[in-house]
Amino acid sequence: MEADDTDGLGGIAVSVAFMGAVLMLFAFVTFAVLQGSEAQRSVGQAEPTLTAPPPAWSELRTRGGFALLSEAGLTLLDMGVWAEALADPASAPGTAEAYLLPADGRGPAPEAFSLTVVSAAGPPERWVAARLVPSADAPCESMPGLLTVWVLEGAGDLAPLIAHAQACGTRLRIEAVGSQLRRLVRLDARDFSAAGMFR
Amino acid sequence: MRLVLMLVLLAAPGSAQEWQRDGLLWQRLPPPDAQVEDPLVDLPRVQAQMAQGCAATPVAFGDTAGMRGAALGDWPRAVRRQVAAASVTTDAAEAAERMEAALATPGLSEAQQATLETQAALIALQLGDPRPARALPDLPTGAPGALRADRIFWRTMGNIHDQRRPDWSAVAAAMEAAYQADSAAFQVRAWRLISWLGAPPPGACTDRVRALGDIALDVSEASACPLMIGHVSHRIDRALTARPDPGAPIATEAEAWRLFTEALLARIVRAERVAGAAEASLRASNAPCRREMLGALAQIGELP
Repeated sequence: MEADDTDGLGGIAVSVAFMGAVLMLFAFVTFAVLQGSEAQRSVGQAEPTLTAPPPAWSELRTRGGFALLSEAGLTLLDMGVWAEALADPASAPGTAEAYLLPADGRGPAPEAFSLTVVSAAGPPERWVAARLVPSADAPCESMPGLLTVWVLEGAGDLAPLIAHAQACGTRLRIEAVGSQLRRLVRLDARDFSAAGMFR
Repeated sequence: MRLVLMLVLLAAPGSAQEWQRDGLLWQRLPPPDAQVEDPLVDLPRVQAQMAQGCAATPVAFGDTAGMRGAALGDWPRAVRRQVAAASVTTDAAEAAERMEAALATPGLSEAQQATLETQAALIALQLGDPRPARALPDLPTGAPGALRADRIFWRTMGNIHDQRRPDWSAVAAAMEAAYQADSAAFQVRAWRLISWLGAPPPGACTDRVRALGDIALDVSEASACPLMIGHVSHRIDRALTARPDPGAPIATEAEAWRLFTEALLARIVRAERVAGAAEASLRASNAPCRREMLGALAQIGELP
């Protein structure tokens, strides 16, 4: 009777030790598998983050372009039209729905200006430098080094635009503008204040 | 007896040596250097900057004399419009034509003409053509300092535009001349620091630490703000096309000076972790002026 009890206890000890060994093995195996697995993306992130413009003060201001992103695709605006409007405000092209409103700069810097860009529907054909459907293998000729993209309502996914910019080496500044575009673009001494530069 | 022995064993490693943890490993740091007595950096100035923080200062960030607020007189409306148009267009030929039209406007003062010539070269440089900037002549000594500084600065930027390894001593000499002409221009102050770090000039260690400390303090004087110092550090790294890894051993003397500058600026904006990492790398190196650099950093660290 006593011998049976001892055998029973020995069996329990062996099974506990065995279970312990299995658990240890399981921990090591899990550890090894996790080490080699791909990093998990967060739930809300459709595309992995690509390059962001480096937060950098630079002595040479980067000249860039402007574009509109709508459901029809990416419309790059012709900076020559803006230049014409600034040089001769009376002849600034536009309609009641889409117009450029230039204003002379003030202060000691002659290059200062401000320009209001308004477009209720799509931009008029005269403003357009190029129309693209952004994707990683779309052409790069018309893409500038720095592009400010105004995103209209219903433009959809930004991932193709980011892939396109990445493929062309373009730095993006993306701004959501709602259903119609009304934005002030300006260059003056305020842009060179510490608060304006070091963001 | 056993208790005494255990206490001795436990206490011994911690007593004389400093230890630093790197991941799972503990490393013994070399004994601290002997204290340097004389102040190696301008400590009252450091203290003033720490107190000033992100407040605005007279140092101006504009890329042209006009944007930095220099008095240039009234501009004719036609000139403003042409220069604004040239600042927007992405077509280099069109920009050059518009700047020529602006320059041909009658009634411009000499200072205004000089401003427009520099502006035309700057616009060409922004659009990728450094040649007009390289051809900019110096202005006579009587011309406003801000305009003279812009000339020297943008000519130098044109000269080094596509060079991976510029002649740093030539850049340093040009920046010194520009600084003498207009000490309030931030870009000149920043590039004075970059060119010093590009080719640290020879001399006695204490003199070099003092000189570099003054130049770095000229930069942080503009805004002793963590964000600004971060931007400038990033620009220095890009200009020097190398960044010493805070954890890795220091390979060259120039890297040691770079890390010293980083630690100094970080200490001013109270970014102690950054300062500590750079300081630890310096401590572990055998850079020639290590003792003086660490002495200067320790003096700043002791400030209240």
